[in-house]
Amino acid sequence: MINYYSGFFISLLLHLGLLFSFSNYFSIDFLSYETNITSIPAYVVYENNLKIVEKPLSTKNKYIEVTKEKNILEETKDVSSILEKLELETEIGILGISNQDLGTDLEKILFYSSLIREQIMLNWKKPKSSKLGMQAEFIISLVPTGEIIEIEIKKRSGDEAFDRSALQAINKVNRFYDLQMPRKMFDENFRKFIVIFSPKE
Amino acid sequence: MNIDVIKLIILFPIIFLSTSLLGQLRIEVTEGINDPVRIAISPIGWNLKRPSSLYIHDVISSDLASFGEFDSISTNDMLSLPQKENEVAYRDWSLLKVDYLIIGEASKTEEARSLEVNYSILDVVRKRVIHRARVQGSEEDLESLAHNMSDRIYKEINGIPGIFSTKIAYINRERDSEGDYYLRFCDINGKNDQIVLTSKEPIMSPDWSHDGNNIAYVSFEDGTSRIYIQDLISGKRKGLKLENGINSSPTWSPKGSHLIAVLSKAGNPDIYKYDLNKDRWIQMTNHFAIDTEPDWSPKGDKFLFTSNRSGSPQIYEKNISKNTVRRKTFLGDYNARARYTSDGRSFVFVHRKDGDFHIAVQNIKTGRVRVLTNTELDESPTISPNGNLILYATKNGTKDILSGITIDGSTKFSLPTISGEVRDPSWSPLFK
Amino acid sequence: MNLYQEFLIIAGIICGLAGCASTSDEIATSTKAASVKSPEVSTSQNLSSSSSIYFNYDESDLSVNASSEIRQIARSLKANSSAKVKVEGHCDERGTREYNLALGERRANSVKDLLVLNGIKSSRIKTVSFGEEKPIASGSNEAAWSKNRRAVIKVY
Repeated sequence: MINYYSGFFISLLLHLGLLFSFSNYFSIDFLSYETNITSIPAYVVYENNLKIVEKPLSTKNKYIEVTKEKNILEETKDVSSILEKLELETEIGILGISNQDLGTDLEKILFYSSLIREQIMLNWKKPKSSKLGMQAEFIISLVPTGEIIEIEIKKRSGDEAFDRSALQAINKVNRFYDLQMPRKMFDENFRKFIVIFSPKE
Repeated sequence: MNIDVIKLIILFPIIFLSTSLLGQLRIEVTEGINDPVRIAISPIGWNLKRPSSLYIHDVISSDLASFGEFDSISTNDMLSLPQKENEVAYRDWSLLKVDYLIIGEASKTEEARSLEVNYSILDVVRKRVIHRARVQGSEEDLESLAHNMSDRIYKEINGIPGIFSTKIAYINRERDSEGDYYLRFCDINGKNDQIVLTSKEPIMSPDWSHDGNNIAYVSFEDGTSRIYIQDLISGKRKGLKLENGINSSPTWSPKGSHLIAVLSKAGNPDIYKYDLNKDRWIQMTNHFAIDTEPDWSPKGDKFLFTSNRSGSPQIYEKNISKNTVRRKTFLGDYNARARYTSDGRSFVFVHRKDGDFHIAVQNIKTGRVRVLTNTELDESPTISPNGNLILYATKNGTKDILSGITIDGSTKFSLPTISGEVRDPSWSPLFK
Repeated sequence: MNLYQEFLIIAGIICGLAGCASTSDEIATSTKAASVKSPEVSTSQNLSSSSSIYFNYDESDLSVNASSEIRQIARSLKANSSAKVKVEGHCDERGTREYNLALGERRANSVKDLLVLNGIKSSRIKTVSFGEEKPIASGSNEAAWSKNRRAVIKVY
């Protein structure tokens, strides 16, 4: 029994350690929230040093306490909204998180994704055999200039002419243009991604 | 600490980690462009003593470019003329924005009896060979060999069979009001025309059997409509048992043992099936309205037909084994002459809109209708055996002509005009 | 079926035809499509007369004039018991060929039914439909089409 407790405790420590190390992904800043507290005017502190110190101090403390709580509430709220967004993104198949403001980032990723989609589309000559329900998947590897350095067939459609037309389309693009984005966003999302060809009819 | 505890320590953070793992970006492409595939046929090498009667690459180039699906590069624009794979410099072709290159050589076969062409298809974009093949044929019939190569190349690039070796049967008359009627057939490019029947009386509704050996048609030579089937090779023909009234609109069953047609012997036109072995008519629909223009489904389990049982002509489908009839068309007041596509998923038909007759296609499952033509007197649509092209009869001024359109409605085409009035086309199956 | 039932059916048909005939007559005056051609001397063997009845688009009903012409033919047939009749049904080029074959048959049958109503034995009358296959006028206009929408009554 003791062994289980100690085992659990050690794993909890590891757990927390991991939480700390991945904290930047979830914008949970355990140590830095204090800097978010609004500063109190110096004269008030000074004046309250002797007598009032005790009272304002208590109120100060209270104020601080309240603020602290408020911050924590806000932070927790942010985390849950982030987690919600995570779930949403998993659903629509796009995951890309950084420690910056999430709304703009998601938009940026969607924007570059549609640029890529468009550039492939403009080069795809669908064969006559293409039918609704066919699906071919390819893993594309890029370098930051937008150049394609590797194409890997992830899943064949079963129709050779179809797969070949998709490969030709990707090869024709050769280099995606207008993909200027922060390096981190590129590394996390666009260095290696999947393209799915699935015709609508 | 025992092994279980260690497992717990190790597993816990991994489980936690996995939930925080980031997935890969997935981008979906659902549409492409309609541009034709750019293809180059480098002149096929000729290693025979006698000069060739025609240029194989010319036949293939013009075949593939026939329906707007391919764009053939002219030999004048070619920067090099390779015949062997090691002679190919991909840059010469990528400069011309060519997608696929075909090269080959013709030589006598080992027994020196026939001709063979060894050819390769190269993917210029990906800089690799995608297909190598050999076709054999006779020097006398170089054209058929070339069409065969067109079929194979088409199949390799488009995924569906090519139709360059198929034929069209049609009814022809020198002039609208005088002269004999002819039932004829010719190659898809209008060449090699042959007469099947000459008659002083009208001929109608030709239909190819699924093996391509026979044609069924309606002839008025007996003073009234009668169905005949004719063996195209021997020319032998047989008249189906003549009944009172209309005997018309024959179409073959998939296995060739039966025909489905129209008889009005019971007082009004109904659909009947004919057993070729027993020379017997079997009634398939029984309704006081006009039931006509049946078409057997590719699997042979259903048939489409035109009926005015609802007040005006509409398309109905009958499931033979279940004995159920279902109305299929609901758009407009005149929908007739349906023909299944080779995959049985859709049918083309004649649709009247604002008094004008157009060719339309309907998806059987979704019921979605697309009107393909905007000319006014369109009729008798026939579909290519690869399901991609539709040929139909229409008018050019006062003249009866045949016109064509791709099933997606994107490209119009026409067959080289044969002299006189041309109507009632029927597309042959793929010949094996 | 006994005579009484037959009489009722014939009475019913007459009423029906009368109703149809009156409507087509109204249309006839506006489009001038339904008119009767006078009998002409035919050049083919055995043919003693040939008359044409005209119809409106997509219809097989007989106009009043057509009906009276047919009654006249019936009377001459009764006088000549060895004579036989052939009624050909035709259509204009619009619509599908096979459906027009059925429409042509309906037109021929309209004429036949009226002849039978006027006492001519059914066995003396043969009907055949040529659909749109044997037009008498060429052209893709109403002038040509109206001439082609006809039933030709040939007496032998």
